[in-house]
Order: sequence, then C-alpha cells, then structure tokens
Amino acid sequence: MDYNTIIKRPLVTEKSTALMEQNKYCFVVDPRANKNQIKEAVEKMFNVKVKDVNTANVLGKVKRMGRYEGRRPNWKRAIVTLEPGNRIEFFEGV
Amino acid sequence: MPSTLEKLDKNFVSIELTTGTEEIDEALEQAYHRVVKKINIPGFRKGKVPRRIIEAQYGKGILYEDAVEILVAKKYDEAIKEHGLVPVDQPHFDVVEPFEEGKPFVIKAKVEVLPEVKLGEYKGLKVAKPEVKVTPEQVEERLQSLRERHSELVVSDKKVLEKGDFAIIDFEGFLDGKPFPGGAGQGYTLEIGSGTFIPGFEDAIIGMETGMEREINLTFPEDYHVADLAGKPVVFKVNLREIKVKELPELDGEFAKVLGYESMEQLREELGKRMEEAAIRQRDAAWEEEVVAKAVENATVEISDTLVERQTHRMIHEFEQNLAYQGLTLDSYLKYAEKDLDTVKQEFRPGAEKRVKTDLVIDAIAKAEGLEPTEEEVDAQIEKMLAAYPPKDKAKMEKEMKKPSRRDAVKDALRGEKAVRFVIEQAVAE
Repeated sequence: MDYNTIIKRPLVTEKSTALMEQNKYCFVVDPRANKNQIKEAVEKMFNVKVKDVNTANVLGKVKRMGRYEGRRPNWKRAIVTLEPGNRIEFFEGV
Repeated sequence: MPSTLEKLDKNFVSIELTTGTEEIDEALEQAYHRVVKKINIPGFRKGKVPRRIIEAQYGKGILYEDAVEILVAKKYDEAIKEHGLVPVDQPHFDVVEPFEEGKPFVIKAKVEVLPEVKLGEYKGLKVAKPEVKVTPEQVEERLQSLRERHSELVVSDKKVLEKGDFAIIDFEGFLDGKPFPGGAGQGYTLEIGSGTFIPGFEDAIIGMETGMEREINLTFPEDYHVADLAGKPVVFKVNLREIKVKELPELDGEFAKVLGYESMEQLREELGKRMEEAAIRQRDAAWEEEVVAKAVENATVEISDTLVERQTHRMIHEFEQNLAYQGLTLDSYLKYAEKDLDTVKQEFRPGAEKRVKTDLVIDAIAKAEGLEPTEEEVDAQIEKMLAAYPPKDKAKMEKEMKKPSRRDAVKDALRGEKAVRFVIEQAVAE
C-alpha cells in the first residue's frame, strides 16, 4: 500500500493535542493497515524516527433517520510515538 | 510605557498612548481567552481549543480586534490615573500607528475632562446681613389673615344678594335647550366676586332675592378648557336658596383663647416673636446662599458644555417628575404651554450653568481645604439615610448603599456640604 493511502489525515482533538507533549501524534489511518506499515509510512512521510505505534479500531456509530438505520464508517486510530528528538510540523495548516 | 498629555482648548485633552510589544503579547493572550469561549472546532470542547489551533484555523487577525479593545481600555485607564484626569465624557480614539504584532501600537485619545477651577477669594467673604425687624403693622396684618382663616359663614337675614356675599344656589345650565355635563349643582356655595364661575355669572345673580329663580344668558369664554363649550351661548337656571356672609371673629380675649393664648397681649407678643424668628431664619438662609454665590462668582471656570447639557437633562427630568405629581406628562405640558423641548432646554440652561459652576467650585474648595469626609462620617450619613426607610425596605437599601458607586455619591454630597459650611463659617456679616 501507498503511504498516502495508509495515512488519511491527522487527528486533531483535545486529547491528541495534549498527547503531542509526550511526542505522540495521532492519525486516522486505513483500517487494513498494520502497525508496521503505519510506522514505515510515518517515517517516510515526515522523515522522522518512530519508536512505537498503538492502534485502535473505532467502530462507527449506528445512526437512525426515522425508520432507516445507518452506520457511520469504521476507522482506525493510530497513536505514533516518536523517538526523542523527532518532531512533526504538520498541524500548522490543518 | 508612559503617555504624553496635550491640552486642547475648552477642557479637552489629547493623550498619546504607546504600547510596548510585551503589552501587545499580553493583550493578545487576553483576547485569546475571550475569543476561545465563542469558538467551536470539532474535536474540542467549547473553550478548550488551544490558541495555536485557533490561529491556524482562522488566521492571527481573529484576535486583533479584541486585543485592540483590551489594550486601548487598559492604556487609557492607566493614562487617566497617571495624569490625574477626571473625564466627563466618553473618549474619542484615533489610531496613529496601526496594531501589529512586534511593533509599538500608538493611538491618540481625545476626551473632555473636568474643567480646571481657578478659585477666587472664598475665605472671609463680606456680605451684607440686613437687620430684621417686625413692625406692629406686620403683626396686625398677620392677625387679619388669622381672622380670615377663623371666619365663619353664617346665614344672613339679608334679602338681596350683594357683592362679597356667599350665595347658596342651585343651578343648571342648558346648551341649545339641553343640559350639559358639569353644568349643574345643588346647594353650591359661591362667593360673589371671587371669579370662580365663568365671567358674567356672578354679576348676573347680584340683586337676586332669596327664594327667587332667575334665568341668565351667558356665553362661555373662547379659551374655556372644555372645547365643546368654549364660545357657546348657554342658559343657566339659578335658584337662590339663601345668603350667607362671612363673619370675622373679634380680636378679643376669646379669639386669643381659641388660638391657645391667654390674652390678646400675649397673642400679639408671641406672634411678633415667631414672625421675627421666621424672618431671621429666612434672612440667614438668604445670606448663606449669597455667600456661596459670591464664592462661586469669584472663581473662574471654563464651563463645560457637556456637563451643562447633562445638568439640563437632569433638570428637565426632575421637572417632568414634578409634572407627573400633578398628573401631567412633559408632552402635554409642552402642548399646553405652547413650547417645544428646545425652548424649555434654553430656559433651563442658565440655571444649569450656575449649578454646574457651583458644584465645580464647591468641589475645588473642598479639595483646596482638604475637607475630605472621613469613612466614619460617610457611615454615619448612610445610617441617617437608612433610618428614613421603613424596616421592610431597609435591608434592601442597606445592600444598595454598600455599592461603591452609591457610597461615593454620599461622599461627594458630604464633601460639598462641608465645603459650603466652611465658606459660610469663614464669611463675615456686615
């Protein structure tokens, strides 16, 4: 898989902003990607050294519109810990 | 950073306010705290968005407006304190150097301040204090009016009604042969010659005999207050029931006793004494007023239009309230007196100017003499004011009076009083 399709977008939330202090960055990634692939993709894309990757599958919520039931898409969250001394400067233009 | 003060004419000053870059950063931070409460970005709770994210999303400019507002207010406040100015109006701001991060921000504030008072002579003022004397004639005059007040209406055996008599009448008025509202009365007591009724009515019944009926033809005056009747010819049917005359009590011992005195001599003496006391009080009040007026006159103040305008407004407002007691509104008064608001304002203006000047001068005297009321005095005064309220409202008023603004108002009033007292005590009667 291509790096650009593995990493879909940065995840900017209160929590993710707080995690940046610990040198951890959050992304929304392709649910099919594994930790190794994510690690490789982040290293290549931002030119940094990755120490660890934690992932979580986030299940889309069930939403109703009257009698029609639908589902929001599932997605995968990846929390990437960088080796000390590395930084990603992408949040500027979110 | 210090500000530079420049005096303009007519109590206006212009202050140049310069802010350092540090202050700008500080203001931006404050502006962020203000703005963040209103911003919604997905992924963040309201009010929790970091400044970095906001700036990235909306651009730095979003904070500028609030930052400028904060800065201007802060610098203006500082400058006012620094130069000891008392503004009387809202300031007007002009930007000299536009707001930019990392660069000093310069603005000019133009504001009207409390006029400077050049005190003239106010200590030991010499004002003539006329001698008060109550003449026996004045006492007699008062006795006459007392007699009037204690007079009684008694049925007279006179047969023919004359001027000065009181006629007890029944009357009914007809307009075009029909009775009209307010045109009838039973057993009404009318003093002939008092002008209570429309012109001609009283004259027309002179010469009537008791028990007689008479029809009189009259025309209502053109300016009569009931529009339907003004200028209309009417017929009144009048029945004279009886004639009464006013009987004045004789000035004898009995009259004195009714008034609570032993004898006529004592009444005369007491009356004279009381009249003299009243006259002295009146003279002293007038004298004090003149002393203060003189102190004010001796001072020079460049009068401020803003203050006078405000005072005029206040006076018109008071006037309006007085009218309300009489059941009138300002609008109806204006219509009745055939004036418009501007003429009324013009009429109030000289008085307002005087009040403004007096207040300013009194304040300046208080300052010059160090007549600042102590906190205890203020407390005592507030206590006194609270005592005037019924217990049920007292707690509420007490809370109200605790407000700094109310407290200051009381203090200002006390300071003025002290200054007035001072001027009066120093003055010399001639």
